[in-house]
Amino acid sequence: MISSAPAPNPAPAASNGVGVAAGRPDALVVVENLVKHYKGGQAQVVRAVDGVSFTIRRGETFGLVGESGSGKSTVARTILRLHEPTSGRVTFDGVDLGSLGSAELRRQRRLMQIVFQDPFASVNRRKTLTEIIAGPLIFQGERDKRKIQARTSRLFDLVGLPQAYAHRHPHEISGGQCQRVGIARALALEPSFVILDEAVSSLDVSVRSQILNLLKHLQRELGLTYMFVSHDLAIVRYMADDLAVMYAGRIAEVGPREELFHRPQHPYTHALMGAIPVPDPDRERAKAKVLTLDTAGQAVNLAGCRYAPRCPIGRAQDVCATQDPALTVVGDGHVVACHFPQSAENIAAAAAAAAPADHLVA
Amino acid sequence: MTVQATGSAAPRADDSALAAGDSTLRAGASAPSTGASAPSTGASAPSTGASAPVLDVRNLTVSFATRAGIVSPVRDISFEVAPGQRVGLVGESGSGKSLTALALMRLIHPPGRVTGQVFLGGRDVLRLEERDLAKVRGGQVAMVYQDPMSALNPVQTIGDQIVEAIRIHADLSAREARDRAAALLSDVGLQDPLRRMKSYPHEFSGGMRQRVMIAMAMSANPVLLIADEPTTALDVTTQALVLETLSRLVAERGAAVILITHDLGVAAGFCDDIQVMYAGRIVERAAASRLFRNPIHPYAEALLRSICDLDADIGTDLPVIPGQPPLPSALPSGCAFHPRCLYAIEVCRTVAPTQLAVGGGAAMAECHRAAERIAGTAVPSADPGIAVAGSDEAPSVPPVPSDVPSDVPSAAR
Repeated sequence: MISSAPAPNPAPAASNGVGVAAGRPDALVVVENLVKHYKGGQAQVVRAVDGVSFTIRRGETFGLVGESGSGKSTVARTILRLHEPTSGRVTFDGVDLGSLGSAELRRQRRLMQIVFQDPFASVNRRKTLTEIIAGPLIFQGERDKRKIQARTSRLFDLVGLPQAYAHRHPHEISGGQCQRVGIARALALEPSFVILDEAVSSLDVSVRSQILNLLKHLQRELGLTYMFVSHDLAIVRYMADDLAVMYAGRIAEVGPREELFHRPQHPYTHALMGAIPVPDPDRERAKAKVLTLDTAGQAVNLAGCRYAPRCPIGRAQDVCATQDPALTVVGDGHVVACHFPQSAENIAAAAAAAAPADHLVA
Repeated sequence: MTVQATGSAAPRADDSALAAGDSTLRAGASAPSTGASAPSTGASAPSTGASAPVLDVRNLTVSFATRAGIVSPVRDISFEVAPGQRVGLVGESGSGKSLTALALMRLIHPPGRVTGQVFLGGRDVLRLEERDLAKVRGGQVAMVYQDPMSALNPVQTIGDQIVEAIRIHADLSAREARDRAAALLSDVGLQDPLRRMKSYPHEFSGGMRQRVMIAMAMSANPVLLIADEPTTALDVTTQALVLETLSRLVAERGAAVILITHDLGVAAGFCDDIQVMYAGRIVERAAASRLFRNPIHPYAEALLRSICDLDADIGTDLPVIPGQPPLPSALPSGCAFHPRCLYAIEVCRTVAPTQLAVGGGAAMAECHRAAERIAGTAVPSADPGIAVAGSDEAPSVPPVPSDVPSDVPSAAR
């Protein structure tokens, strides 16, 4: 069902088992060997996304986790063609988005929307909430004022915004409410697919849970398919049916939620899970916290596995330094890009053994 | 005017204060509260036992005059910090936790107004001469903030900045200071410190910059470190590494820490004791292990329950706190939490609660129903106060829990 194809960069390899996923009847979004490079300074190339493949199933939530700079937001925006991909293919409901002209793409975008991280930065502060939410309708050519009015009013209800807020401006509402506005705007055109790009990351704990609940209700009520992008593994676990862990432009591990959380195999997935602070002092202090090496600022290893310089296992292995790890199927729909997929115990032991004094703590 | 609880100022629990927490709870798992190795820098620190507090805050209030009248985002709070103790100040945005930190260091400027007393080594910081204040800031008390990029000078090398910080507080030659800086950077886990000192802040990652800030903060051997969301801008794996470094350094040097965070998980791993802030008041103070297991204040409980952690039940809605925190300019009457409180009863709407000691030490909860909560007999009220505030603005479609009632702008975002 899901697969990840880190083709040796930059050549795309079309045959990496992705076809199997693409052929599934419940596939809504199929991403194949997606690559997005940016020109950096001094003739450098920033490989923000470097050969990513996965399939998002209809009606489900696909989680994309990774740290800042891992490329997860670039994947999100490249899927919508907000950024043009360098290479690779994105198919939405059987339509190859790369083959569409701008008018066709605009029509297609009705069905694919995005909610951004910073609710205030992503709305026009001079407009009223009604104007903001009606924006996509007008942009897509709706001119009937009564229809627009009825639709926005319905959207206010849908996301739990009081109708009394209709003529308020963004600065007159809270962050949680403003994110409801962002969600209402994304739903205005009745999309089937919504990308939630760190949509709750800037919200306070109590408000965050309110918005997560809202998103789940909306998904059930409207039959939405989500791609949920976040750095917070705990929240992705709550939201996602399938999830992918990204590191440095590649997918490190991908699989169904239960499988990935019960049997994580990639050392980086272990590190991410171990690093989540647990709101329980005894458990927080008992667990092995840091299972990654601290090599902040080092260049990414492009020749072999990108995680190798920080990996308690891969750091000592020649193969990790020199060879891009191939995809390994380790369970039903569970795929890992690692030369040495590991259990939690092995990682903890390796991390403890590899610890060079100050630079690693297990 | 909002200061209502003046009469109920914290009962000062003498010296033993927080360090003991309540009952037996400091399970020795971590966080050496090394009272014995109390730092020697504070010239005029009282020479009592090891447990004389390094910081003693009394009736601290921060107010601002606004068009709507005087608002007080921090309202008459009192607490102590023992040598080597790690106190967490947790709460949501707008609860007053960061303003508290700024007020402690007298970093709130007019028209902001700070009243109360902040005793540091026996002297009231709020009444120090400017010259003495300069010695306190960055000397006896150091600060680490959320955004290292805005705290570092972008056009000066890392080395120059640390050397400058060192020489402000210690009479060292440039070379001695340079050696000291290199040692500090190595201490916080930067490899090849001499080379790193020639770098500029933009050449460092967020985690490395925060390490530099920690090195700078520790450079004068402070007795107290105030860390305001020190890892909030960092990725989880980096956060874990930086917290580990911070933890090791303060333990080695016996420095006390006030850790300000909205992340209860971070507080759980780092702090001995936790103070939960809501609407400018400390509403509960407890040993970390007790707070997380058995919160007394309904807000503390609700906050803990609303966290989406790795144990969250995927099949059901996450527990939420209805409504959202009030603004200081529009505080509800009585207990500020009552409109969102599942346990609110009539008295909560009209009378500000007083503090009730919980167990030993300085542990307390400020709640009318604290005694019932401790006894386990408090029943959620059938008529939660939720409907009281701004019910006219409640959403018309109920199935979705809403953060609605507050009708106030979210100013500072």
